[in-house]
Amino acid sequence: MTAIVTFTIYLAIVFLIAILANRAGQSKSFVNEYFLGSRNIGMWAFAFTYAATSASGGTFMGFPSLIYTHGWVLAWWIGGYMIVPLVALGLLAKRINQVSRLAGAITVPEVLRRRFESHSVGNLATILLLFFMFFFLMAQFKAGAEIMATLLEDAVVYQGIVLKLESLTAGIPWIGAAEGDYLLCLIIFATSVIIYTTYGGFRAVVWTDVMQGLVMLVGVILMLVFAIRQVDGLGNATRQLAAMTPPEFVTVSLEVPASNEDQRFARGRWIEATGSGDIIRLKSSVMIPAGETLSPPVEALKLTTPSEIEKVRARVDRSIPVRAVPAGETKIYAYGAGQKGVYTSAPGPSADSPQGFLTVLLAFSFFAFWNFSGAGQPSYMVRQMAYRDTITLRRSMVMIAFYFSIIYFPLIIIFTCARVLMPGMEIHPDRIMPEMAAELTYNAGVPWLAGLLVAAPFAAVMSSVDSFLILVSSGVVRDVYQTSINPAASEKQVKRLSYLVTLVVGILGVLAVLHPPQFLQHLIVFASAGLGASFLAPTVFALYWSRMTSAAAVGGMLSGGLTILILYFVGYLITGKFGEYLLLGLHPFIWAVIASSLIIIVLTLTGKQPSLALRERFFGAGG
Amino acid sequence: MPDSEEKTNLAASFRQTRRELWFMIASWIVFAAWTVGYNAFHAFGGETSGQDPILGMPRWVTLGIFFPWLAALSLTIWFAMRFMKDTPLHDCADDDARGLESFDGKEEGRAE
Repeated sequence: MTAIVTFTIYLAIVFLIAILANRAGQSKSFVNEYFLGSRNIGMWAFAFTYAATSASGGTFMGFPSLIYTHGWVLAWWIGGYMIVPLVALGLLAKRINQVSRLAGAITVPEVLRRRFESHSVGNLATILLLFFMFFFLMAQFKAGAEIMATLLEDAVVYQGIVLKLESLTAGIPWIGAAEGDYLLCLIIFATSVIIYTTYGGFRAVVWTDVMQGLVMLVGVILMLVFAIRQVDGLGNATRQLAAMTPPEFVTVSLEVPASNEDQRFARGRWIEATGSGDIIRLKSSVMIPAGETLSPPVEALKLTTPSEIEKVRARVDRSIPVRAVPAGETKIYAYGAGQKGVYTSAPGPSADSPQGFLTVLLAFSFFAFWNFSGAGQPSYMVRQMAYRDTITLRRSMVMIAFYFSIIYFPLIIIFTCARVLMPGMEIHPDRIMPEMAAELTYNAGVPWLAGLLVAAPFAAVMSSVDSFLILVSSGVVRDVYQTSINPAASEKQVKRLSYLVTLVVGILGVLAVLHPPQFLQHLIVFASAGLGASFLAPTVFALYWSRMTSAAAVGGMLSGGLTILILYFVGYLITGKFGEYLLLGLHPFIWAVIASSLIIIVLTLTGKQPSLALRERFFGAGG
Repeated sequence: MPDSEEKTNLAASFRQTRRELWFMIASWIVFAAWTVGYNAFHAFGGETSGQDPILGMPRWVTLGIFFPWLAALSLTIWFAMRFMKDTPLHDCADDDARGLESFDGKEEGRAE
């Protein structure tokens, strides 16, 4: 309950900031203020809004679940972040700010539209941005709802509302099939973010990012200290990890003595099977009706590491003797089953891939992906258009470098420790962050702190959702409505439409995410790759190559975006699941950037050179 | 349209930014080579599990990720405080007024 109070206070502060931001922007031009904070963002705000937008639901939900599932190899997977502040800001920050000012542009599609004086370029950029950004929104909404569900799951009032909601939505197509707890939390989370983003605009987003960035920082540092203490030192945790072997996934029916009442076994419950002595954990809830003794088949996780089995055996509820009867195939890891050392070495264990989690080529792909895909994200570009001057940029770069170092590397340490402290979380890996926060604070005797720790990933998700909402809203209002539909729109009309679009996009995001894929990180990587592939090469060439043509910009965006879509579609055809196809072992992003760059170079060299006036406008004397 | 002095300043600022771009690309290549190169030879294989951790981490993580991370952090600070130069970003054009002009008929500027 105390965790809920802490968390409620946090939300109240977020709303207060939105109100203050709204008041601060009252006297300024609505469009410039609502979408770009009047281009007057200072050092602290720029550094934190950039870093907080980067640290998203993926950072605090998807990334921890991958560390937990695959071990230390995730340090290599995320290693590219060591140089992200230098690369991402060094690549575009100065030029895109300069060019957007010279062009008077407020959005990324608008920068491209005016750089090439071409509506085709602007319209295509808007379409690609809206398409890929929507997947990002879906992932963040799911993350926010998951965190909230973990926080509230023990509250009696909450459980009552969940039951009521389930009965209300039962029978409604699409919505009724969603789990009640997830649906309720999704609604609360989405409503909160949509309200404060709609009300406060870009300035509220930036200010709340600063607050949320600080919350993340404090949360990670506290978790790091707690985690290392509770595993008796990092070296001890690493040695324990080295002795671990991956779990197995089994399908069983539970056999129990007959009873006059229904017998319910909740998801996540540990069971010591009578006879075999196996320790298994249920992946979903199961109920055995009164008078019956055998449950329907249910999937479960079976531990294989002796030290984990001993640790869990003490926690098992033995009030009802249960026998687990095999009712299907046992699935072992495709790479790493029965092997010690897989959690402390590359390629890391994998349930699906016989090559393991991370090959050398894939590691190289991700080293490029985090840096260059990050640079190509419109949500970062728009922040780079909003800082005040280059002194702000330089100082912010240093702050962001420290910030990323303090966030990303400690997360690897925290969640390798989580493997030692919390066995069996593979049944629901996306919940490891909030579960770990609750475990650490409970063990440390400060359960009220769980609210703050859970607020860290929640802050990360919120700070990303609000940024994406504003970006999508600006895409529709500025790049579609004001440019193509009603160029003479009054400020009042634009204002109303901006509010309306933010609201509608938020609602569509909620509806789309009622049945999301299991791993958040897959959605996030897809959306990042799509945006990076569509925008990176066209934007870099547009800012640094005066000769580039509008046809090349269109070709570059199309080839980049389509390459990603095609390689994900091939991946789906081959595996039957949402995921990428690694052509020659490389991530689709690499192929997309190569294709996009080649198309740009060829079309530019074979096309007509832009006018000297246009070149001089953005590149200075001589063009 | 900037006047001729502004055009000259803009050209100088562009050249400086381009120098910074090349430095950034070279830095990325160095750190990619260090991290991917070192770990390709040292991170794989069950034998890594038998090695004593360094600073609590597997040896390959400390030498192939943690140390380059510290080096990259130092380089970023030096780049931002020493190598990167302050340049004028130019006055902002009037956003709202410029937002609605039509480019019809001039999608591809003529070569001059």
